[in-house]
Amino acid sequence: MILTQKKINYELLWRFIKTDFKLRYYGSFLGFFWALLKPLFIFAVLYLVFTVFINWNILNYQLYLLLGIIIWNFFAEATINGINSLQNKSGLLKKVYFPRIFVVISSTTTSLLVFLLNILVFFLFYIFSDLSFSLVVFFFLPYAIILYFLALSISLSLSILQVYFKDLIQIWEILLQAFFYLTPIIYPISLVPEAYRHFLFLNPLTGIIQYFRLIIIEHKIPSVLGTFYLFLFVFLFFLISYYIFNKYSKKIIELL
Amino acid sequence: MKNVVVVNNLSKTFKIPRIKKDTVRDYLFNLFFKNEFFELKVLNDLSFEIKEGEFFGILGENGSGKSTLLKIIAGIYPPESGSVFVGKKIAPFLELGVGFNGELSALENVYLNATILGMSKLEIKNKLDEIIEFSELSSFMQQKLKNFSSGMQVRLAFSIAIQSNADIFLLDEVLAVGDLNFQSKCFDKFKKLKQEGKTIIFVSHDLNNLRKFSDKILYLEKGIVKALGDADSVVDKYVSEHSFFNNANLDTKNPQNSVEFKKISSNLESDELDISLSSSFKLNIKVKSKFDYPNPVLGFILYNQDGAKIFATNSLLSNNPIKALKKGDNEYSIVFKNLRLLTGKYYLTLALSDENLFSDFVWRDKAYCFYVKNSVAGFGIINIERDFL
Repeated sequence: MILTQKKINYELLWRFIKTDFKLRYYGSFLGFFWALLKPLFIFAVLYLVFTVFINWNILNYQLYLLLGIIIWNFFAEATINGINSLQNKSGLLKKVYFPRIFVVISSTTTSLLVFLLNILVFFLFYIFSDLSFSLVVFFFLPYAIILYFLALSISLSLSILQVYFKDLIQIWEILLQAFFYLTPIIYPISLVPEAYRHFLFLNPLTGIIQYFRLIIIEHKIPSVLGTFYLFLFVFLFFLISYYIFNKYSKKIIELL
Repeated sequence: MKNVVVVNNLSKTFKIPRIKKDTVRDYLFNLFFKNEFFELKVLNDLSFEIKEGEFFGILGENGSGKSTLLKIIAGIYPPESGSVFVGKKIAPFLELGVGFNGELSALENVYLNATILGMSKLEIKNKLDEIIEFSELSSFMQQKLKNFSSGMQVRLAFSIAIQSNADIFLLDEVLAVGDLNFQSKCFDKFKKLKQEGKTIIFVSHDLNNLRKFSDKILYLEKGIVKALGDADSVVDKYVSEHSFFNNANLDTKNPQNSVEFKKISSNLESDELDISLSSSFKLNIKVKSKFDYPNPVLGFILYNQDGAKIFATNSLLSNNPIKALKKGDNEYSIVFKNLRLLTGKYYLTLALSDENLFSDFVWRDKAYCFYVKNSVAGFGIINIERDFL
């Protein structure tokens, strides 16, 4: 049987994803257990601070907060691992040729799998909450794809830059820390003064998180125009990142 | 036969910055220093072709550009200028066991490595038994690879690599690892691959293996093709340039080029003389001549690895005439007896000349190389028989 190169490539990508997943959460069950527990733990602490210490009274705050943390957690992990992925796999990249993009895709996809499992855990909480269930919640899927492509685009372009600037990842981690507070994760966007809200929406994550909440918690379908802008932004960003990655991925191997 | 790899005017330069600037911080602090680059020309205008089914050796000192060349052929590095055409499916790996991960089980590593080498899941499943059997590691397959000895890892890696369905293999010093037993197993497999019409591109420092297996050798020096041709002539050239004798010409022949050493071999197994078993061996010399000559003289010089001349003589001095040289193929032998050599590498230079030793019909430096194993407790050049009283 003759297999096309394409099929073998897909098998290679799948093998990479499986291996990445296994290695990142090895020790199988316990390793994975921690990956699921991390956002829940952050959630527990923040929930304690803002409902008991500060005494905010926001409807469905626990689901609201947990969803924001899960999305943010995915974004932060996927980009950190993605930006480091070329460097981490340098031994392999220097010894064998395969499409270099697989390294970044497998890294971000591993984070995506954890994200989807986290969403499942979220739905467990959801069932026990007093919210009713509606099929509308499945509308979150296209937004999950947009979220994934946002993380992938950042990983693609910055993983190339990371080879030239070895301290980029430290800078990125500081930025992530800052944006954790500049994105409406802990607080609802309605608390932000009107004048500043537009600035928050310059961050595509704001839109994604808000839409996720709108769909899952409020069972509402987001505005088409807003979704279109979000899609267009991520799509263009992806094209640019993909172009940059393809242009430089051959050249950077000797710098790794 | 058709060409499977064609390299045209290939050049590659590495830019090495004088000031290391690879962080944002470096850029900020060195903003006003203009960085200068020091250019290292690793490959300079290479052109050559490799034919289908060829065993193509690449020879050169460290830093001559061998590995860079392989990486460009594999597609790992882009060429700077010139082109590389690869006409058949290439196994895009330079080393055994790429992607091996100690935290995974041996079996998982087989799947991972084989997939990286371009095998499909189905192929791996079909070949799994063969891989495990060849590696002789069937009872360890569920163990983590980090618990394997390096020898076991190499065995596993090699067993996977040879199942690759590629048409062109790139091997960079692959045989530097592994014991003699393993190496001979590798070479047996290479012969088989060659019979199947696979092309093997092979970088090595082991001149004997290169001579034995290569059809053609590329000799690189500082990124330039120094020689390209059949194995014997290129290795001879390399040896002559790197030998302690520093002779420009290896085969000094008479002007008509009419006598040549065709084959020099011995009855030693892998050219090794173990003094504890035997202190003699027989050297067989095949000579091709274009004329008849009644009284030729055969001579030799024996050198040790430091270039010290241990002994030289010829059939005339030894009063031991050899048979006449006939037009066509001739066979001569020298039986060396009671050799009292110490452990090490030895070279024999051979010459065939006229009856007056006036001119050499043919002369070859280091025509034969052999190893001696001797467990005698002592140092020097030869083993002196002694009695302490």
